[in-house]
Amino acid sequence: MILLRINQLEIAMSLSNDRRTYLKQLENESIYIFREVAAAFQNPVMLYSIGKDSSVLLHLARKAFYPGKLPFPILHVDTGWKFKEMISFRDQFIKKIGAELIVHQNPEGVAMDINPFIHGSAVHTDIMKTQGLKQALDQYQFDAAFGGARRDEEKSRAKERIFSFRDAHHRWDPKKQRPELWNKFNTQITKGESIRVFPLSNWTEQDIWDYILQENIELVPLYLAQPRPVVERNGTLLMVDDGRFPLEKGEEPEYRSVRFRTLGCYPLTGAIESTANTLESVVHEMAQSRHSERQGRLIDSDQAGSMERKKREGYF
Amino acid sequence: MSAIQPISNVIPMNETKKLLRLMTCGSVDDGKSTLIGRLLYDTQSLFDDQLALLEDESKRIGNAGDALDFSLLVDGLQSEREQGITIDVAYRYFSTDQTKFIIADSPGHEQYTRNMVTAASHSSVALILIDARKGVITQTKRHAYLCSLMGIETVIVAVNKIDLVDYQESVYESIKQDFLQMSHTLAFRHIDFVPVSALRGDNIASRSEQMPWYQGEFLLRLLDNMNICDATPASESFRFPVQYVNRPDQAFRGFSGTVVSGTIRQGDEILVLPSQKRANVIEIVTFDGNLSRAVEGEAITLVLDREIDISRGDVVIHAHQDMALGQLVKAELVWLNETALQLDRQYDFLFSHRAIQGRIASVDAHIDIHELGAKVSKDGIALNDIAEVSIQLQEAVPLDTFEQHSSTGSFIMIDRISHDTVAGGMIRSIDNVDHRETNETLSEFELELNQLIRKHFPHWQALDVRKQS
Repeated sequence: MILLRINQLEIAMSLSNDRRTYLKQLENESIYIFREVAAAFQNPVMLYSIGKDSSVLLHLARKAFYPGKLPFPILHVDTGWKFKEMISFRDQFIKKIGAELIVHQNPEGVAMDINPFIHGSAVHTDIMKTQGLKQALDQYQFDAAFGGARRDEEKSRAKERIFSFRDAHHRWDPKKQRPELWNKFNTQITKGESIRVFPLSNWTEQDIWDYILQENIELVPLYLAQPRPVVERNGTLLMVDDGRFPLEKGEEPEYRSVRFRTLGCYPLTGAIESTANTLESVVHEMAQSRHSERQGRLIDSDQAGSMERKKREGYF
Repeated sequence: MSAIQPISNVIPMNETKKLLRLMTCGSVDDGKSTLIGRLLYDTQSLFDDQLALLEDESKRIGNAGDALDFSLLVDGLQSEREQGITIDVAYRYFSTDQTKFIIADSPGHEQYTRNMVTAASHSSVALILIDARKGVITQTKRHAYLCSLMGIETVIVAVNKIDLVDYQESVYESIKQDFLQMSHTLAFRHIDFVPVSALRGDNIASRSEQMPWYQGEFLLRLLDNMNICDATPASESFRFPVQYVNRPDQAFRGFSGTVVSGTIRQGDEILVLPSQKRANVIEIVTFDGNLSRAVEGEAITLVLDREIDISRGDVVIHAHQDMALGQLVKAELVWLNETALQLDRQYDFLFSHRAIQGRIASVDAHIDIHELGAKVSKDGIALNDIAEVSIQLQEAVPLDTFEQHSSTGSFIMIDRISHDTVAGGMIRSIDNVDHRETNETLSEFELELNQLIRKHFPHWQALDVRKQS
């Protein structure tokens, strides 16, 4: 009788632990990439944006080096305009997992008092994000930087390598990109050059959500709907996250039940109206609505073909 | 802390969903972009805003009349071509209830051999497109040969534009026979055929009513069924290239890597190559708990019962099994770089996590990819060439042939100065260094001759035989 139970349990476990499901295969591939970089490079770093893809990336990195801690620091390029909840989540979560956190803010940008409301998204993103990132990479002499970008995010990313080569000025030159055969990655670089590595290249947005559910990955609560103070501008719902939000004449923040599909600088991140207040309902809602996640990003719509340009300039 | 904690015990619907890596062979003229776009559309892999854009572009610049021009979903990268990106494989994703597909899509023209080879190296199944009006042409032969060369054993041949030949069974049948006859010398284990019209959606996501004579499955069903074909008997021999030595503190020392073949169990006795050291596996560690066994594809960490010297690039195998140690190997090279091979130069050969210096000792034959691999003679090796070569490595490394194990039987070649990846290679045979008979005695004449050559002909880069044993 007892024996039978154990057998049943074993069968049940082997079924639910099927190690060849697509998520497990994607996970194994990502872990492989993490280990390869940690072993082959002198001074890697993981770029962390606090969003859901970063959370998945961090989770995979922890798996890759278990039972050890992460053999590289985590870098957050802070623009000074992130949602408050993102920053508190960042500090608590990184502390909890015992990782080393580096926060970098472009001091020149801070001195110039760069403000997305005044200077616009293009200038803000360039100075606080792109230039800030380059400064940090130069300052710490990182030779490899993990990022959470995926190939399904945008048409121009479909051809991006997993190991993306950058010259000494952090520039992405399409002609210098190396062919990637099998999983044999060429990790050789000359001093000053670096690579960006994208362990989530083959994941889709749907995979990310499925994995978050499967692995119980903690996320910033902004991904779930709850009443938040928002104003509507040009059809975009913006959250009034702090007193720096310049309300225009007649504008009055109103509480609406909203959530965010991507997280970034609060003045540049559109919310969507939703009542989905659990991850399950978010995933369900996503399956219904079918808008690509970049739709909520004001950065991308700023200039045509802007992703391509940003990549060349060193932005992810 | 107010972080989102998902409710546990939620079992994702797609728990048994599998991953399938697929490459597409064909040119724009064959309707390849339309077919890929159609697959994305019919599997609801497109978002509403992408669809709206597609509708808009179809009206303005489309070539499908009033209908949606699916090729626009895929062909949106013209600007990149103008920028001079010459190596490009585009990766696309779609899912059915049973399978997540990764499509490696490369241009099909002759000068893009390196792209096709790159795409094939990431694929287990190839979808070969044939234009029903043209039948099996030189390009089809080239695609079939390259797939076979790269170890792809499962092929789906989609006979496209069948609507333009009035859905005639005889056209389809004759193309099928031509393909079978052409490919019988190639190493395909499984070939499916399906008549389709990517433009009209015939036999893509459902059975077409236009072809009652066709008794087989529609394309998406065939692709889904590949999961079953995928269950080929796993190779018996265990191969575990050590990727990363995990030593966070004095208490733990583990060897991390991915099982590229076979199975390892807790308690197994293992052999480390090339050092020949033995040990027993006491733990198979993962973040999600220790395993009693691990199989191909799993990223794990092995803990051994004794302290032996193991470094990155070593290969762990079962103690009772064997693996060749090769210093002189024959391989097929696919040249990927604009700069041609230089015979007198040392290159780095990157095997599993270890780069070894070596040189191409001889170019033995060139392969004509238009004639199913017929051998031709030609000097040197340049971009898009495929050649049989002999490689002399500076030290012996654990290797397999590509047929035995694609992972431990393949390599990339790196230029030691530019650091470019110049070639990919498949090992075809290994001159096994018998490690048990080292210190072979060298004749006095051999030693003198060797020193003489090294002194007067340094550009030959002859190895110092005294240091070889």
